[in-house]
Amino acid sequence: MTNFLFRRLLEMIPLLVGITLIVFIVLSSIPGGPLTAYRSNPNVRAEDLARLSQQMGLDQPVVVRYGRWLLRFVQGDWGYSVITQQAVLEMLGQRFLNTLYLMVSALIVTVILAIPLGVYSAVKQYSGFDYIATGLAFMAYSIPGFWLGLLFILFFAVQLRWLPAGGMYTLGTDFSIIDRLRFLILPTLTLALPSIGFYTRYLRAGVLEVKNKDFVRTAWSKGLGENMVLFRHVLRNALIPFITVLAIHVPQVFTGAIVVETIFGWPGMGRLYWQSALNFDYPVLMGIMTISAGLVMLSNLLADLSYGVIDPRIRYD
Amino acid sequence: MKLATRLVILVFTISAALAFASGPQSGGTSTIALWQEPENLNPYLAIQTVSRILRKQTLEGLFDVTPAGEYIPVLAAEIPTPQNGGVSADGKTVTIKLKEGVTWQDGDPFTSADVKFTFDVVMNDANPVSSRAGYDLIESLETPDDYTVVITFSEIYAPYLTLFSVDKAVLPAHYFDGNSDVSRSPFNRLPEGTGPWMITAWESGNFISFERNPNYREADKPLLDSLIFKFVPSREVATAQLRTGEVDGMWNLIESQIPELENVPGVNLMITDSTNLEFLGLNLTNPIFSDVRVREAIGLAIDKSVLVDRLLYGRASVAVSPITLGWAKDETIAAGAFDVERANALLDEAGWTERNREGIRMKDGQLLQFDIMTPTGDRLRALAEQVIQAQLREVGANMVIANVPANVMFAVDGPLKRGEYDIAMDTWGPDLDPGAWLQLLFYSDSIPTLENPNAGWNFIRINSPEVDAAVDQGRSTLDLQVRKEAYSNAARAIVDTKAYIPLYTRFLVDAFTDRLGGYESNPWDEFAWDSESWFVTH
Repeated sequence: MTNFLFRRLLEMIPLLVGITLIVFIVLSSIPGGPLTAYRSNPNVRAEDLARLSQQMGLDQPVVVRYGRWLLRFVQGDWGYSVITQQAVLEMLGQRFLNTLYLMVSALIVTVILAIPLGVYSAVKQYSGFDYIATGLAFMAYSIPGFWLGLLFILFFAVQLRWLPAGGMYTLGTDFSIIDRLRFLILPTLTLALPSIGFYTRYLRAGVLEVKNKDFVRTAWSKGLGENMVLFRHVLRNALIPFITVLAIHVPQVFTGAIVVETIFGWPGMGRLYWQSALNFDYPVLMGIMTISAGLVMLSNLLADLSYGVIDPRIRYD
Repeated sequence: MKLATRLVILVFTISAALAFASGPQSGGTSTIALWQEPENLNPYLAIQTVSRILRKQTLEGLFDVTPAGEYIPVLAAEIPTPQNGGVSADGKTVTIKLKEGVTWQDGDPFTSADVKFTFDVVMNDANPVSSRAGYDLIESLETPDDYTVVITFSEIYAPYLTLFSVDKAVLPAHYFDGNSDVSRSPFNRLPEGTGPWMITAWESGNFISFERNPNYREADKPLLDSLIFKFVPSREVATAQLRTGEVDGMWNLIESQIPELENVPGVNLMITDSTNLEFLGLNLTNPIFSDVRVREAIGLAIDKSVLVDRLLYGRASVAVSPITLGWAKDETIAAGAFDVERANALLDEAGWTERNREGIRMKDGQLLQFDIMTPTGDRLRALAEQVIQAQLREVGANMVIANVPANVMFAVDGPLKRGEYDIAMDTWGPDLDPGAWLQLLFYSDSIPTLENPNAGWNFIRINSPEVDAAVDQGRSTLDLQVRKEAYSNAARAIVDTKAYIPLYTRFLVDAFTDRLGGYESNPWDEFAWDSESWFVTH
């Protein structure tokens, strides 16, 4: 187990270097660059541009710039934004926590609702409940997030005035859990609904497949109770592919948050990413890309590890 | 223009009536939505408009500009002119008297040492300063006493009142202990100034909050206790929050949002003239456009009022000159008005007399056909292109729409810089002092080349001795009358090239709810320039 973990973590290093190198080269070859905004300012003259380019290190070849970035990165220095002049780590810190807060809420809501809905639909296959759940799941999965979010704002914020239209908490007031939750509801639902639809369907299919396996029939014939068969044997086996898909999905929630964060004015990483991309802010983009890449690898590793918890037959050698 | 004036008066009347009814009270908090977030708040590092809006709440300059376009002293005691001895006879030495008794928000006195320090910051190579234009002409900056600054220029710098002023500011020397490397300073996010407000917090992606500065020199200002600028992702989100009352005001709407908000009870619009000028630039290296008659015909064939009335809901002014506002504006300059007959006659005269089966003019077997380019994704411009396309079709010209993303269009090695385009559509207008803008867009040295793509933005490739002479004259004197005449000549010469077709100038539109009062529009300053006079009614 320790060996496995160590090997996997070690493998991540060259992978991460490779990813960052490719990302850096791609970012550098996009026409424009951080000086784009300066160029359209009549007071920024050719001599100013030349000076800025040198001050930002943009006059160096890509390989040199990447080398410098990597060297500082391994020492824990993520560099400074070329646009805001702020330390990248400082910029990402709070934003990352805000996105994590939204993402975890959405994930919890998804899992809490999708698992019972999916399992119950499968157990009561072709029942009225199953048809309704299936219909709603398809609807939820098909509605685009940006549209759903706007609809929520229009209905719950502008028309009914029950919930705030955007932001993370009421500005100028003290911390309050109720206030935080009020701001959390709409973006969480917007983020969670499509995935609830998807996972309900996914789990239903998984449970149906396992339900008719030989070992389940054996369990029934041993005279085990319904709960025992369902949770011990069926669900455990059905959860393995579920977790794999969920692990791939975690980073997607992270990127999918861009749309939701934009609609609800959520001060998260998604908007920072978008803004930095528009500004060609390479150091910040590199920071965000590295975190995303790290997240993908980590969640895959976590998925691999959780198989062992769910299914004792899986061994790590 | 008339409509704008009327609307502005209407807004004034309403806000004045409101002020009268309830009286400007002190106290309270107001929240304003901004749909952009600034990069930082250091006036010498940042270039976004939204940064100017926010830093001007706390940082002040030596001079500023009134709604009428006149310079007024802020931290300076008076405007230095040749008449009051502030400007030397040769125009190269400017003596600035500072206001006495002004303090920074922490109570330290404001002195000439702060101006000297600010100059050091601009010239320090560690700071990625956006522009040193004007500052690099300063030969020496002396401070004979605490309240006098003497600046000697190596050559005449006509916009000398913009140095450390208007969109720039004076920085506090004591904050930095005199260390002029400010590139990584926390000051860039949380500046401390002499202005009406003190910044209390900046939470990225969320808000910037201000509290009234107890040391501000005007005792009863600001009226509000605190002011919060909330960052929202888009204008649409800002409008939604304005309607729910979550914010009291929002910055910068677009024309197409006006009908939606106009009839919402409790929402008032503030409409301000601007110099944001939408224009067509005809590439002079294109053989078709080398004939001035063809260029003139294109200008005459476009009915600009259709664009203004149909696409901008009448909320724009038809533009006839590159300088549309301010002291340098010349009412007598006018690009030719819409005239299809004359356009047809000019094209006939230029030899484009044959027509193909679709009615497109031809000359020596070549079609009268060219591309138009504007950044993709701008709906208004895309519609404007289609209108212009249809109008040019009426005189037998075939304009093909070929838009590209903004970062491609404006890239250093992009089509504008390389001169590989036919017609470009863009928005760009002069500042109150149009000198720098005229030079960057129309001066012969500003024609970008492959060797020097950063030379400038004269992508139309105007090479006119008249324009060059006028721009040179405008920057070689401090006499405003002479400068006004020079810029009139420049504007006239630019219009005469027929390669620069001004279309319309847009208005700046901001919105407030009934809760907030006391605001006034200023085309030469930023949104919230007068926030110290804002008040809330309930």
